[in-house]
Amino acid sequence: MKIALITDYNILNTNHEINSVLSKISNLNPKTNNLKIDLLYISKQTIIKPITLEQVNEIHIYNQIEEPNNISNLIKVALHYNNIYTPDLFISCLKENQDAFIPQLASKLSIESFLNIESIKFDNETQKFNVIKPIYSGNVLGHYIVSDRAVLSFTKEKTSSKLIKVSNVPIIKYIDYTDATTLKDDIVTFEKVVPSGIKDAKFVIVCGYGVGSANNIELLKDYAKSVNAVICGTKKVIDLGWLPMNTLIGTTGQIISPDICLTIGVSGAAPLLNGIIKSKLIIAINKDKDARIFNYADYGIVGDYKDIIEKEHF
Amino acid sequence: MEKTEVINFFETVLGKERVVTNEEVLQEFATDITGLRMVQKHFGWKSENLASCILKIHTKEEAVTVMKFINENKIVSIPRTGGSGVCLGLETPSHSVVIDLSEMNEIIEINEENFTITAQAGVPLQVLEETLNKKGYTSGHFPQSLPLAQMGGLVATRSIGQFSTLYGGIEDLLVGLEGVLPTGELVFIKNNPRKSTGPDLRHIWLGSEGAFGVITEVTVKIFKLPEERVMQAFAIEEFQTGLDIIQEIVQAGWKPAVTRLHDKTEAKESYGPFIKEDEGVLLFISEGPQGFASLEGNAVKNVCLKHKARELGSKPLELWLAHRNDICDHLDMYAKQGAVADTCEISAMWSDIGKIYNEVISRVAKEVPYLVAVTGHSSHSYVQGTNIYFMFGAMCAPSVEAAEKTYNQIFGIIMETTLKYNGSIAHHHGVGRYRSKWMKEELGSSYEMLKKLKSAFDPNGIMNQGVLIPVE
Amino acid sequence: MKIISCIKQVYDLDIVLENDWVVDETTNKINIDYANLIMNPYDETALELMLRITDSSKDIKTEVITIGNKKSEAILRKALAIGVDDATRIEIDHELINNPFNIAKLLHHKIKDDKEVKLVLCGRQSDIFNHGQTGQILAEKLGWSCFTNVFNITYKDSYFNVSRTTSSGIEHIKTNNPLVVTVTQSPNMFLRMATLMNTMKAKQKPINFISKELSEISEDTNEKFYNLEKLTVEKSKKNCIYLNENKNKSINLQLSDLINNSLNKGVK
Ligand SMILES: Cc1cc2nc3c(=O)[nH]c(=O)nc-3n(C[C@H](O)[C@H](O)[C@H](O)COP(=O)(O)OP(=O)(O)OC[C@H]3O[C@@H](n4cnc5c(N)ncnc54)[C@H](O)[C@@H]3O)c2cc1C
Ligand SMILES: Cc1cc2nc3c(=O)[nH]c(=O)nc-3n(C[C@H](O)[C@H](O)[C@H](O)COP(=O)(O)OP(=O)(O)OC[C@H]3O[C@@H](n4cnc5c(N)ncnc54)[C@H](O)[C@@H]3O)c2cc1C
Repeated sequence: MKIALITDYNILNTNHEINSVLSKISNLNPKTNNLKIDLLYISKQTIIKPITLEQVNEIHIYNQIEEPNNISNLIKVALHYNNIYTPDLFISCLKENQDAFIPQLASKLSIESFLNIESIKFDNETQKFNVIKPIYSGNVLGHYIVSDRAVLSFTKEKTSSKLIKVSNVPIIKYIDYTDATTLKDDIVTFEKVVPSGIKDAKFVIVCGYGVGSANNIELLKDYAKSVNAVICGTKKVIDLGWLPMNTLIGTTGQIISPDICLTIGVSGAAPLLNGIIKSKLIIAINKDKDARIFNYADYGIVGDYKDIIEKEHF
Repeated sequence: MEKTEVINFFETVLGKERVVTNEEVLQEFATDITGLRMVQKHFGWKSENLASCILKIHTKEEAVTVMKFINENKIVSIPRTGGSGVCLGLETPSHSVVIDLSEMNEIIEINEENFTITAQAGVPLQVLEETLNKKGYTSGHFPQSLPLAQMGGLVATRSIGQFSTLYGGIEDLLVGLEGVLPTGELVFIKNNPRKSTGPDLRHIWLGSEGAFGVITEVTVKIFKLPEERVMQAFAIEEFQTGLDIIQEIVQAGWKPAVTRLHDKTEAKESYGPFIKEDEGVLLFISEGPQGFASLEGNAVKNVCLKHKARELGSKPLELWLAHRNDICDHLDMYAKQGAVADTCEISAMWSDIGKIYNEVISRVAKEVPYLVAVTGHSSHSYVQGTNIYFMFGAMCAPSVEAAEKTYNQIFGIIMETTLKYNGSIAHHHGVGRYRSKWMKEELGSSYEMLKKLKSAFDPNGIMNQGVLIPVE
Repeated sequence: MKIISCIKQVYDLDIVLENDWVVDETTNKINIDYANLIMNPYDETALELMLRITDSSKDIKTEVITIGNKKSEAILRKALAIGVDDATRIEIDHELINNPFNIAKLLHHKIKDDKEVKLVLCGRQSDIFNHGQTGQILAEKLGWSCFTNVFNITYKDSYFNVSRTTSSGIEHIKTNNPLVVTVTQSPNMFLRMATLMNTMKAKQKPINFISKELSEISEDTNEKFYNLEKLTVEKSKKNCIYLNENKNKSINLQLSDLINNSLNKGVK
């Protein structure tokens, strides 16, 4: 069986994203189950030195692509590889547009596709992959049996899980593939936004609808500053425009795992919970003693947050 | 007297930090959360009339000193606790003073022998209830504003809770009270189970809405947490059938703590998956000592089935219990979408309540051009009649004036229809400044009594001027 | 020109009670049938974006499509009541085809021959199965551009201006190629409300209907696709320790001590 891991992350630096995927597929026991893992590296980099990369058998370097980030180029590369090797599984690990790449490749190949799965297993008896992914907005886990082949990605999150080190040096192959992209005449401009800094923060404050107003968020920002925390919000808060879009936490936003996550006026809907559940410590402030968030918090404070956050800020 | 002099005086009594003059805060305290203001704020409304200051009172002695000064200097003053009023009762005329008792928030005593709890005016009902729950008791008082309201305001507005059909309104729960009269006297009404000593003076305070003085402390009843609870819901085809069922149940002598009837529009919105097209929903909770609830539950069920209501089980009640106060977090939802929305609760005798409901629903639907919805439910029932709690929402041009026009039109229809059938224009939200214009008609010949009471208690007309009785 | 918005009726999962998240052993299902049926929130945002385009370009025709049973017409009527011109329901049992592949196939079947259509909007994701792929697959089948995570789209002088979030910032695309967008959360993009009068009028409007037979989905091809073997509920509840106000230490002091202690521990 063959797995193709597609990436445009720089594999020369010990790359966190790639390692995170590799650690998540290490439970497939590639050796005993005779699964071969190829890494498709799409980059303009012409030549690379041998590197160690656990579990990977071969690195296929596609380095003659003009616009490596362009979706249709990515799909072409995958199809090129597919024509030769027909992998059982494509795993995507891309910087951008993963959510467009996966379904479109699957559609081209008429195979199944899964975005943001939690884990994958291999059933040696049936020789089938089992995909486990959150459904019902993350209240439930769905266990899918992949019928034939599939394209998928894992949720992007900071993982602490370590790779088993076997100092494997994969074979490097340079793939002779060029394709003149027929670029669309779209005019694309890019606007940089202030990075939220949420992923790396040790202390994160999640504001929910219960915070009450954009004005209150400003006050909480002062508080956050004073305790060295980064501030972010739930979907309702983003919908209201109280915080910028890149500060959304949850299934459709960012998954975080800081040392402390303090939630203020957050009810604890599953899609939000999934974003914070891996925090080392969760403290919840909510005035409703029956709020769902308390079931998943280490510490809880029942009350109006304005009476609890140090007075000077209100 | 000069504004600075006034503020100076208060600062010497209370200290600088307890006399708030920050303009932003004054603006926030310039009104309450009446639906009209919620949407108007969204369209840029700001009060032109700000109070001179807000006084954070901590003791009854302070309250006495402040009241004496206010009376001598004829300064209009607005008592305030939770700020959850919905009838413009907290609007500040310019140069007025807000007497804020929300920081007087000590629970003084839970008396487990006499089953009472004594609390200062600023104790939030939620805190009171949770404190009681820990000891195995309940206040039996569950207004939807439970997360917002405080004891003083609850008495001053004659509030009522969602479990009232068993426990009663605040008038049934209040045992004794302490307050300061507009002229500065501290008065105390002692705790007794009942008495026959002339008019019940508690009733001067119940529904006084700040117009007769400041409530500083209240004693209310407590109850044992119920041992047993029976929850059941039913679907009915006609609103009137629902009313008939409730009438029969309460007149038979049963008192299901929660007795609610939602019309088809509300039923669809909240209990859609349980019902068929165009059905309304009846919700009942019976509670009390072991055996009592199931006995009552059976009786309720029998009446419902007799009227061909369809059983829906207890799930709708579980949902209702979990989500009944969510609205407190979403008050300005409609306003954000540019709609005027509010609620209006009235009451009437059994003979008339159905007519009022029908006429209001059809008139509002017909006459209000950009109506989104008008719905109604009955939620507090009595042997003689019940209430209807209307909810309405309508789109309007994005201006303060357009919002007011639409609001007045809908409210007007409800008030007019209610009075036409001899109903009462306010079942539990109070009168405030908004409904005072209908008070003459509401009270008829007894309006004179209200005016005399007001001038006797508040000769200078300073206490929350404009509520209950309009300024002429 | 015509714009299509694809909308879906879903359960309002926010109201489901915590204790009801259990898998029924015999049916392998979660029983949440009591939850209200609403329009998927992301579809609401997409629909509002569509209506804002036509607010300023009156000559653009709009249509909503849903795939579902008779009940799901409720959301179509709502769309008609707030100003959408046309509504189509593709009749199919969701249980049978609950995967993005077949949903996209049905939508493609409906849209492909309509030369007027230049833009299709989908929500980025919906409950129950949270695949988040329908729009993208539809775009691939149509051979159109596809933009995900779109939070704004306007139309001017024959060009669409699309704004979308990426992991590093915001991308603005000006295009006059036909396209499918999937819509994410967007600030202050609440779906407008219908007046009672328009709601009543919408009840009388016709809804186009495409039956299962016409939609070219054969049931046996679905069998082997997206085989959901079982459901599990695995959230581990914690034993929350509640902080209470006490005489020796105010609650905000307790909170700041807790924060400081854990941060110090984290550093070690
Ligand atoms: C497909 C899909 C995907 C979704 N993805 C996400 C996602 O990624 N992230 C996300 O966040 N949501 C997501 N949602 C939305 C999610 O279901 C919830 O609606 C949302 O998380 C609720 O936000 P909230 O907790 O801020 O608001 P609410 O649920 O309204 O909770 C507000 C809370 O504040 C409390 N409160 C109010 N006032 C105070 C006060 N003064 N002091 C203290 N507490 C107070 C209240 O008791 C209440 O519990 C998604 C929904 C769908 C359908
Ligand atoms: C979402 C919502 C739901 C509601 N549901 C209910 C309900 O179910 N049942 C119900 O009865 N009401 C309800 N209300 C109305 C309101 O909550 C009640 O009227 C409540 O009793 C007000 O209490 P408060 O402490 O907020 O008073 P405030 O709003 O502060 O004051 C209300 C009035 O009382 C006067 N007052 C306040 N404190 C004192 C005092 N110490 N001495 C003298 N006068 C005083 C004020 O001058 C004002 O006129 C609801 C309101 C909202 C916003």
